Amino acid sequence: MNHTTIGQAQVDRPTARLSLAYVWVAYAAFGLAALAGMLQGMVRGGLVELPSWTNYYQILTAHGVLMALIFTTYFIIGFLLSGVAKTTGGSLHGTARGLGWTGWVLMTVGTAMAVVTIVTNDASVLYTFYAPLKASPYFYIGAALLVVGSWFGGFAIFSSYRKWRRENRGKLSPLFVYMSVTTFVLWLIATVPVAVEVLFQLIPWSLGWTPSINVMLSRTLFWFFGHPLVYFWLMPAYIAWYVCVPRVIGGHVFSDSLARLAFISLLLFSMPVGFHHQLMEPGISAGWKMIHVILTLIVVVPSLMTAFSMFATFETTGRKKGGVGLFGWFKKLPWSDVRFFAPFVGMLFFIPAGAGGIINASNQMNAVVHNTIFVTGHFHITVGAAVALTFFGVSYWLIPVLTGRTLTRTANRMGMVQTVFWSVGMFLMSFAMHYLGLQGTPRRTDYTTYMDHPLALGWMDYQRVMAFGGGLLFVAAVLLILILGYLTFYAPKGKTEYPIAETEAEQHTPRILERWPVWVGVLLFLIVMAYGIPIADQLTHNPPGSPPIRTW
Amino acid sequence: MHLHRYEKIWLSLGAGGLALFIVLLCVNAFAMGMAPPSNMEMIDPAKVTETPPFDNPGLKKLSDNEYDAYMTAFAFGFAPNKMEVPVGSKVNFHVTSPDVVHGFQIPGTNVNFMVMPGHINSASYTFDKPGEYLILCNEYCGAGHQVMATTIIVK
Amino acid sequence: METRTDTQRQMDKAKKPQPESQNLKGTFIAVLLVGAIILLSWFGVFGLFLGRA
Repeated sequence: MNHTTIGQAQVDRPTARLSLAYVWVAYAAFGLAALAGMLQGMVRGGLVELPSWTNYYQILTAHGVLMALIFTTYFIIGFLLSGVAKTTGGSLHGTARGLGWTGWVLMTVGTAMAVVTIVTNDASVLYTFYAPLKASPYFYIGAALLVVGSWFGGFAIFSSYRKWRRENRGKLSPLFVYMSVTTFVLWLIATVPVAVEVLFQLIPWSLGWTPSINVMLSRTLFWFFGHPLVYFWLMPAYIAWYVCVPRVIGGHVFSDSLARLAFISLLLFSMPVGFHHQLMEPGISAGWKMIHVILTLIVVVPSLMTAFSMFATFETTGRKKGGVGLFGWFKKLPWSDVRFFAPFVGMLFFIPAGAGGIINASNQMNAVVHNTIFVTGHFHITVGAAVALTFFGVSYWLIPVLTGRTLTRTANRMGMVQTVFWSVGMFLMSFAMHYLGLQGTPRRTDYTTYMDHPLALGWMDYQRVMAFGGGLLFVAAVLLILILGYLTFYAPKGKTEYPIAETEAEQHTPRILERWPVWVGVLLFLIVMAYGIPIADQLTHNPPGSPPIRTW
Repeated sequence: MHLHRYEKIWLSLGAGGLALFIVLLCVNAFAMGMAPPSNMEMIDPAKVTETPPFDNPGLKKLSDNEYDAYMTAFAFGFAPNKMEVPVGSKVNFHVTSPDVVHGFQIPGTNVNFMVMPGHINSASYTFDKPGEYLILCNEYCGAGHQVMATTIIVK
Repeated sequence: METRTDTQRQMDKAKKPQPESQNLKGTFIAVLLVGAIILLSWFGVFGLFLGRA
């Protein structure tokens, strides 16, 4: 069922250049962030001491901002723009490309501003920038430019989608496009509260225009954004799982309508749930916390659907290739193809990651793990393994597609080695983190023995395991950048397929899944229900605000 | 929309499991009184040191085996610095911050909450075993965050 | 070009079997294992929470 016409460009040159510009900023940030991350691990394991011109929290800020905000956002926009181009005829029209480049410029200016303030140690506030810790105003302005720039990436996708719909009236949009649009509808709505926080609270306050800040409100606005942020990372990985991986293994999309339903559910239920990041905070009633917890557990369902769809794709494909018995199909999967292997390992990581996420969100149970390094372990296996490994797996074919080169056998083999290093490193590090977190070891903390308290001394062995895992991860990161550099500049020229799977048989997808006003309406209703009263309360019933403070 | 029979069963089991979690959490939180720390009291963060009882942080004895501990968490320490209670004591911690956001955690117990300027947060714990319990800050608060800790001695 | 491939695709699809007949026993067992991991870890930490109260 391959309808890709050989000889026709997968993604035309101008679009490929745009996409590649995003992907490479992503990997530049990734490389720096990996170095910072490795150093943190070594410091915490008590293996090295940082020179006096830097400190743990500065490199921690760099790691978080570059990895969680820059790497992810750039890669996602670059990947989705290329896929939208591929599935709507091979190119983005001029308007969409213009929007894409505008976004890239805004984001890159913002990133540069934020990075400079971090380097000068004027923004050691970590990537959550919780008030009343006050960073340089340029850090917040940089963050605002990054967010606004990313909106333009979304506008480019919406513009292509509208053009496609005008030209294909009455037809169901390609699955990749639909999922990209859903991802950016989520992103545009989710970034509004953090934009409000940055523009109306943090920037005026950091410039001294307003004397104090409503701390509670700033945190609520941040986490209103912070949870959909993790779905903004996850959804592009799901796109690769639903649409690209099935094609890589020679299979089909299991169910078009279920894939779309999963995405609509993620859009609806990833938003009205932010209080599950604030469960241990004063000033939010236990009742409102519970409401957000219940909505959070509902957002698990689309991931349960995804688990089924993935296994089903693997099983039907493996059986077609001659796999028999209960699990014979499993052996028929292309285990030596990094384009499959890397995202597959990512999926495996997502099983304990999902289980850990449910634990984190479970209201009072959060007391066991809140702000412990369990949480750090959790998001290193969600975004750092499930999402990152998928992005690596995508990069191994996306970069050759964009540069008109091929993934050679050797590059594929090196990719396999890289995947193994990353996975083993991540497994060791995150296992130690989960274990330590359950003992109460705090996250985001420089090397310390708490005045040689026996409990803290007992944590040290596992902190060394973390450091070892971090070392392996760094090796994998260097290897990855070398391979991607090779694929960009040196690999032999040739045709590489942009893997886009289709359904095997005609499926009837309910048209309501593509009626955006309905879903955006439902989403706004849920947001008002979940946040209306608490935010009104925080605006009217609040303690005296906090002045800006610099404690580093 | 077509759903495979197994997928229907799987999603029903999944939704059922999640519903079970919700029911257990609700019963435990609201009927057994184990809801997360959600104190709604407020305070002027600029005036913590002059607002009773935080002007004089320390243990206040309520009965033979129950204490209120009024504490402040600041960059980079806790007040009071040392506390001691007999084995079997229930301690109700009430903590606020005069500066940035801090954390308050006693590893090995469920005492783990955020301390925010402008708010007072609370949690209780009954110390049934003797020892020197570590109290640490688990929210990044600045250059000295890693030294922000104290202990409570249970004899 | 686009339309022609589309019609062709629909004709091809009409002949294919419906997903009804798919054998998904392995998938079912696999997702049940996922469910078991979620249940076990959740109750493990819930037990820890109750034990530390």
